[in-house]
Amino acid sequence: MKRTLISFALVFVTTFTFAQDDRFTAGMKSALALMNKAGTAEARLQASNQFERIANAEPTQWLPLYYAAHCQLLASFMTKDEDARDPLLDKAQAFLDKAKGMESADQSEIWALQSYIYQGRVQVSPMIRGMQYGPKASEAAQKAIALNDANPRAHLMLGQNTMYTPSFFGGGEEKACPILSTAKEKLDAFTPSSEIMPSWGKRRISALANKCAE
Amino acid sequence: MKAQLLTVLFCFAQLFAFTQTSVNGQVTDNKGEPLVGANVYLEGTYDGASTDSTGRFTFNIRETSGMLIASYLGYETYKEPIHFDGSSASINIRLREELASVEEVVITAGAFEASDEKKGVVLKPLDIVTTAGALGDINAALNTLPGTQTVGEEGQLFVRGGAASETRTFIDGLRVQTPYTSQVPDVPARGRFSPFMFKGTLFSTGGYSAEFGQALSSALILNTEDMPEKSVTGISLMTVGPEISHTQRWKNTAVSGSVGFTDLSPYTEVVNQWIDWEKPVRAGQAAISLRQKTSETGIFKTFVSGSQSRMAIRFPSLERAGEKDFFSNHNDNIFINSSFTEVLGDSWKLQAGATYTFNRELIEFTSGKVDAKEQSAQAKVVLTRYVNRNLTLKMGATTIRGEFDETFTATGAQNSIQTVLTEQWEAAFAEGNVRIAPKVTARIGVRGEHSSLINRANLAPRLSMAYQTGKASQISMAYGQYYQTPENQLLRVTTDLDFERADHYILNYQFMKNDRTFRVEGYYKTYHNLVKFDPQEPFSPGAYSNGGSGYARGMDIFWRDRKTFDRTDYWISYSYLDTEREFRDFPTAAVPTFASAHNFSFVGKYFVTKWRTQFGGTYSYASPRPFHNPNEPGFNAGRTPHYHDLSLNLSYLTDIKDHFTILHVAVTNVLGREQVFGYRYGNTPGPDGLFASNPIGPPARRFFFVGLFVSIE
Repeated sequence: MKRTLISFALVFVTTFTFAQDDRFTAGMKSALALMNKAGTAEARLQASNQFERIANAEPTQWLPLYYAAHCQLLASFMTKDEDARDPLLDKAQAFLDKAKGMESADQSEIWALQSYIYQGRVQVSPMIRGMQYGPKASEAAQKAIALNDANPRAHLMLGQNTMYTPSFFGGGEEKACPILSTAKEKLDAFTPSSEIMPSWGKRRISALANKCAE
Repeated sequence: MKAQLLTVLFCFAQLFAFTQTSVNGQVTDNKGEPLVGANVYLEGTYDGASTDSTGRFTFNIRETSGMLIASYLGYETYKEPIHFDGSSASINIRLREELASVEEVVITAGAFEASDEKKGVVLKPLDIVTTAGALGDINAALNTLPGTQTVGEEGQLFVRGGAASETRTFIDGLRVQTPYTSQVPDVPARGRFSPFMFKGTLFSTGGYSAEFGQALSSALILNTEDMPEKSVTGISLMTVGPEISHTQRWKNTAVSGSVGFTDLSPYTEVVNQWIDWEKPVRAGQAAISLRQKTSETGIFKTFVSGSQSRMAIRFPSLERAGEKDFFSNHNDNIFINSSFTEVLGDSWKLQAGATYTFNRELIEFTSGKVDAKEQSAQAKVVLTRYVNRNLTLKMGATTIRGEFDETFTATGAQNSIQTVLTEQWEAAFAEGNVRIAPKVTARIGVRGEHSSLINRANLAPRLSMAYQTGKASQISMAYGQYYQTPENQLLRVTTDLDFERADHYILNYQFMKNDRTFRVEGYYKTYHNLVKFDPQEPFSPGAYSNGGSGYARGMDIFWRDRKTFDRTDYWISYSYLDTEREFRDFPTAAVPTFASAHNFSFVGKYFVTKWRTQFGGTYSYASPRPFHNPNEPGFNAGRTPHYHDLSLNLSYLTDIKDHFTILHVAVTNVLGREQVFGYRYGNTPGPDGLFASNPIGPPARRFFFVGLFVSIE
């Protein structure tokens, strides 16, 4: 009986500590689910709130900050209040800057998202911002590729930025499409090291690839 | 044993069935309006929620105490320790709107700002470049803003009834001695500096900071670019001449150089000119700049430019019918501007700078020859201390040493008249940016100056305030006293003169939201101690005094909209001005020749994506300006015709062998309206007893410009 009791207790204890460890994964998963089904700027910000809470409780984890930045960025694309876009991007940048400084962070993913944030700045006012942030977005994406050539999101960001850069600035579909097809190849070959690691980009790549096919 | 097991199980169950407390409540702003999407949570846990569409939240927590946090973008984060002893707790949270630090509050009274970095500014640097009719000239572009008067023959900024000399240009905080190209009758001057040099422009039409002085009406504060993004070579081919430039960027260093050549001869051959050019403008200019990052926060910048220009024109003589008078100008100009900025510790900022200017004007005209050499050097230090979010202190000192040496030789005369003026001038200022209430910011400053040339000192108080009436709107006011040393033209007769003075009172309302800006500003300006003299004795020191005075009052309205129409940006400016002054040779108080009561301009820009072309148009109107007609009674009693101008431009964006290229085409006065800026009268009456006259107009009916700009990276 004693044995049974010990094993019983052991099971409980391991479950408990396992639960402690996995609280993070579970929290991340639920936040990711919220993020993926979010269809409005408000819903994206709710997901961001959840990531922010996790980030607060887990000061050594870079992922919640990364996703919180991503949510703020996506909200900036969706919001109808144009004056709110820059403050959202400011917040995205603040989350990302925090993640950038962490040792555990996947710097290639960080710089791919950095490129995306710069592209968000361009979107606020393409005519005025294009010349300032377009080259920055391209540099950040190239840095992401240099850090990890297998990162499909790094290639996606370079391709996307190239596509929306006017041809006279060295952009355009002709130059973007080969980069995007590389991005697609890299994505097909990519397996995230865990369920909560960045794996997004499929929809974006196919939407842009469709433009190329036209 | 069974019982034992049960106990243990029970204990474990106890462990898992934590006492949960349900926390609920509402998050609102100061006025009680619900905040949607605020993040409410217990610090260090995953427990929390976002507020719903009514600002309500509810979530369960396992702990019985901790820090409750509520955060929302644009609001100060709420953080309070809480302790729960029941199964549910209800908490209502009020968040206070986050206040920008005082440095970020832009007091809009009297200020038009263009910047890429700062938020809430009216213009972007690129807007200046693309304004039709401005032909890439900063001053001409600013002339489409309210508060300015169109004075077509001068090409300088005239602000709120002030003369051109009452506007001062500053680069990186240092005074620019010769901001414009040489003054030549009937040929409008242009700014010497390319708008691409600057990352930020602050155009103050009054009430500006104590950091700046020696300008009765207006300050144009230009800040040069820091590090360029990358190395690039630029080739410009223009109808007025070619220019080539190169920028080389290293990690912490950037060097740029440019060489340009202007020759209007081919252009004046092709396009019919009203002005009778003997030698159309020919000029060469070269510039070098160095930028060095000295640390993460420190940067040293230096800019050296040199230019040489010459031109000669003829006029029908007003004294001797059938003959021609001539006027020629030869100008040499050297300008050096260096500055250093560094952050010291975490609350101090140091800005230091120095300039040197050499300018020589060699002017020959029918009745004589003038050789005027001017040299000046300035040094300035400014310290800024960020005390806290509610208080910033700024203080600084500056000194200028200047020498003006002019020789006049009358035609046929043996002797020359030489004037040498040496100025040693010092100034110091202190200014505080203070938040006196959550929505009220004040800038309080004082400035003292001393001029050894006139041996006088002054002390000028400055005050401006902004009250934020809403997220997008503010009311602001400004008051200040502004002193200026009389011009060299007056000082060469006598230096026994005092500073001229203007007092500004400004009230402004601005609303800015979603790419729409509306502002309206009323102002009242009084002039004191203006220099006047007896026109019969212009060379007699005793005829000069500071006995002149005047006033200017009016209203400026500005509307800009980049939102309503797709890919379209337009702004509308209207200025009303009522002014009179008694100064210089005025026998009585009168409206000066540079003042028109109504000025209106419309600037529109439209980008056609398919054609990769931006089209721009500027329409300007100015009501009649006074001129003095010696054949009629009264002083300055004549009135010019109404002024209308429609200018168009287009920029076609393309590439040549993958190098970004802009083709820019511009034309002024498309409708070919007659533009008369005034009349020039002879000094002596003709045989019929009347003074002969010539109308003053632009050099040609229209000005055409075509330029091709290639960037090679």
